[in-house]
Amino acid sequence: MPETAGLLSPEILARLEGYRLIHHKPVGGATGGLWRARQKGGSSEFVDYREYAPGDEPRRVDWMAYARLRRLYVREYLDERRDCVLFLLDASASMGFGTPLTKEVYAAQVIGGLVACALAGQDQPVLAVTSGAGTAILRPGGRRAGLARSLRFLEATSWGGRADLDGALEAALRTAPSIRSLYLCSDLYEREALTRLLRLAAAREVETTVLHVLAPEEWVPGGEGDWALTDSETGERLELTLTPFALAAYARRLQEFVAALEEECRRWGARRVALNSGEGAQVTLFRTLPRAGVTRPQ
Amino acid sequence: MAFLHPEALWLALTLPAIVFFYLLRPRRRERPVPSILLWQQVAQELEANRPWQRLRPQFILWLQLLAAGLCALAAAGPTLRLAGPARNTIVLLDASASMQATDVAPSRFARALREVEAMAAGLRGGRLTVIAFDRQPRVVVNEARDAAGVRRALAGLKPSSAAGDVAPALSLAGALARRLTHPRLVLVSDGGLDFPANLPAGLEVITVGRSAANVSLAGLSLRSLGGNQVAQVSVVNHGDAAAKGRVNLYVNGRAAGSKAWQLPAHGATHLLWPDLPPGATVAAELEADDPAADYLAVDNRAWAVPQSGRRARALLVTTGNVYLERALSLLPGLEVYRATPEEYARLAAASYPYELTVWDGYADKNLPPGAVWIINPPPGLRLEGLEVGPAFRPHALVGADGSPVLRYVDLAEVHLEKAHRLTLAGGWTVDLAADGRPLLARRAEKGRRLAVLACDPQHSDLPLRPAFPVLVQNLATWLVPPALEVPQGRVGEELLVSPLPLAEKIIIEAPDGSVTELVPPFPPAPFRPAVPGLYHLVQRWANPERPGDTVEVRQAFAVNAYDVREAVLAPRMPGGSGEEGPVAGGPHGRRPPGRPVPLSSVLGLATLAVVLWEWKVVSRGR
Repeated sequence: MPETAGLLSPEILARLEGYRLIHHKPVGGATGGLWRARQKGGSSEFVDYREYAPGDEPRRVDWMAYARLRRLYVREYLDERRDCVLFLLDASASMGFGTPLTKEVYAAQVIGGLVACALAGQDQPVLAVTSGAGTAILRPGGRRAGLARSLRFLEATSWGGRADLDGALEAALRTAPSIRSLYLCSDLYEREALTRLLRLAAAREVETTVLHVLAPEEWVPGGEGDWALTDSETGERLELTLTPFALAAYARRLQEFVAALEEECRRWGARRVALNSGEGAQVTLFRTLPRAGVTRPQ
Repeated sequence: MAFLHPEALWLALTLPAIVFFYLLRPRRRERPVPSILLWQQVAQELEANRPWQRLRPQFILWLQLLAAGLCALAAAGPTLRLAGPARNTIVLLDASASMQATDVAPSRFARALREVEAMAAGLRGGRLTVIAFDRQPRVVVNEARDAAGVRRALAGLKPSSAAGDVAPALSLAGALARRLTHPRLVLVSDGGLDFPANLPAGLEVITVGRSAANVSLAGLSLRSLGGNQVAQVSVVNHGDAAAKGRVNLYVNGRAAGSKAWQLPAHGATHLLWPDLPPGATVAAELEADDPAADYLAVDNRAWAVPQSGRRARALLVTTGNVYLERALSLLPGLEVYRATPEEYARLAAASYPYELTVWDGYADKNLPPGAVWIINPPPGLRLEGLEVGPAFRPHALVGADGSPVLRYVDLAEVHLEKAHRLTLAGGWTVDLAADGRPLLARRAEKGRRLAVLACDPQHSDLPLRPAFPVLVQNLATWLVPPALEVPQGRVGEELLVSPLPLAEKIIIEAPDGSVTELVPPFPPAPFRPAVPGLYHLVQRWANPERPGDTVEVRQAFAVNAYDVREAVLAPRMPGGSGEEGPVAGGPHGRRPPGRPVPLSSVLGLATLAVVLWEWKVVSRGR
């Protein structure tokens, strides 16, 4: 693990207390909690629209939308319930790249921030980190102490090797069977492991959010010339001459790769959020994730 | 398009070589990446795993191929014939001294050779004959069909140091042209030629040379003064601009000082070196401060040798003839001895060192060695095709036109009392006759010279006339000529060598060490010096006084290259502008049709431009 001392500044942590995780599925955990849970009904928190069906209460019809679109839509709301949330961090070697911030530092900061949001919303966070060294799981517990433990846990993460995403999920579910939400932060180069993880989460009715982290050099690589590329995890070597033509081909392949991931996530009912480690954790936590519907200001 | 050097097209192999280097796999830099998952797909798309990568149309590649192609093409010497059908061509190539001028690099002659090679490259089925000429024409390429053959024949051809004479070359070209159908006649020259009035119709002229800048040593002469020698050096500036420099003088090969000169355009000056040692050989060398003021080097050196002081020995056999004795003794080149017929008989029996024998009223049945002048031969003498008959009284004297022995001899007031009738066989030349009968005749055969005067001067008023010493002088000069008329000559001009009466072998040693043997056989062939410098004429014969010993007479003579027609470098042609390039010539002259235009220079510049362009592209990082 690189230097992560002061993973998140006190100012950021204080600001994150005003943000909450957004759950899009009804929670199956403890009911009647103080904080939000996902159950559409009489809550005042608006979530989404759906088309009117016979039997719906007329008072839920959005007449303003009808005036604009001439079609009937019904507003849906969330109930506020407590949730057990798993934050799964991919700590494989491939996360050790990126400038000015490596993906691992960035991912640790984002996960730390989301843990803060979860604790602020009275959710019960569970942290799992998977790398070549194995899987480490933490149930941080109470709100303030839990946040400190979570950050220390992330700072002490052992990075490198290959991750075991679905194995880590299994281990976390064994530790905390009540997990209903999963936030996976990874570069997703292990496609098969991702599929197994999504399949397992769907089977256990875990609402999954995939935070797909890539470095700027991965989104738009540069450096024309003759290169011998070495895979950081497998050590496999590939000789390639990077030309504008090759870089264009990479861009096409990345687009296809992202589209396939998107399709995979949609297939298993998960949502995917693309993140660029170059933008920094602060921008991600306070701009990107709220815009993507992962968090919201209270 | 044709090529002067088609063998240079092998340079085109650089093109596949460049492509080869682009196909070769390059040395790669190591670069760790998070995952090669996507790159593998890219590699598959690029087929990068093949041994040879796909040739990508990079701009820099095309530039390199273009530069290499242009370079190879330029080296092959392409020429472009603008128009004109294939014709047989006769080229008159000026190889005179002025073609050594370096006002066009590397020289006018090299430029002329290039023009001829360009013509050869554009033969297209025609045949090419090249006649190189200075004073004499010579065929150096005879009806060649291919450019390579012409180039081989011209390789090593150099301009001479002699002046050019185009008339014999035109005559030879005319003779060759008569065998061809509508031949094309081309003169490649810098001018400086005496063109005949009737130039061949359609003669094409290609002029080489640009500048007139040349400073020459126009002359170096020696004369005696007070027991010493005085050298006079003439310096002429033939250029259109003022020039200055120095003349260095060498006496017997050693430096004897230098003098500066400064001349306006077309100016001349004379430099004097007094008090030089007598008999010394002198050389002068000219240096111009600005090389651009003097493009011709061959006329920058001159040599001079003093007149020879050697005197021939003459024996006058007479019973007494004061007029003749006095006239002979006045000749500076003769050392005269007198003997009576009785003494002569003894002298003739022993070793005989005399180069001229004068029989005055005497004759022997055997001729002595060397030249013989028989005066008033006795009747009944039969000798060497000569038969002496009875006396007669001559009246009107008639001299032969152009006779060298009657030069400046006025016979109008000469009266003869009597003369003997001469009957002459073949080989005799009659110089003077009276009443249709020969009075004075001469004969030269196998190195021996013989003259006969059929009258006794003492029985005439001839010795009292001014004609007599002149006649004696002319006859003595003809009988015992100096080995060389003058102790200096010019490159390419014939030098006639007169053997000494006793000479058995004559050689000429050239300044470059080469030796030319003139005798035997007799008579000596004319000698034509090829290079300027100091020559030596060596005559040898067996010493009659010391059997087994050899007498050797050496005489130095100078050969200089200066000729005003060659020294004036300004290109000038009949009807031409004097500017370099083809001009019209002759009564029906026109621009040469279909003249091949060499493209190498243009292609070379294009190559340079492409290379600079490539450098600019590379420096910008593509």
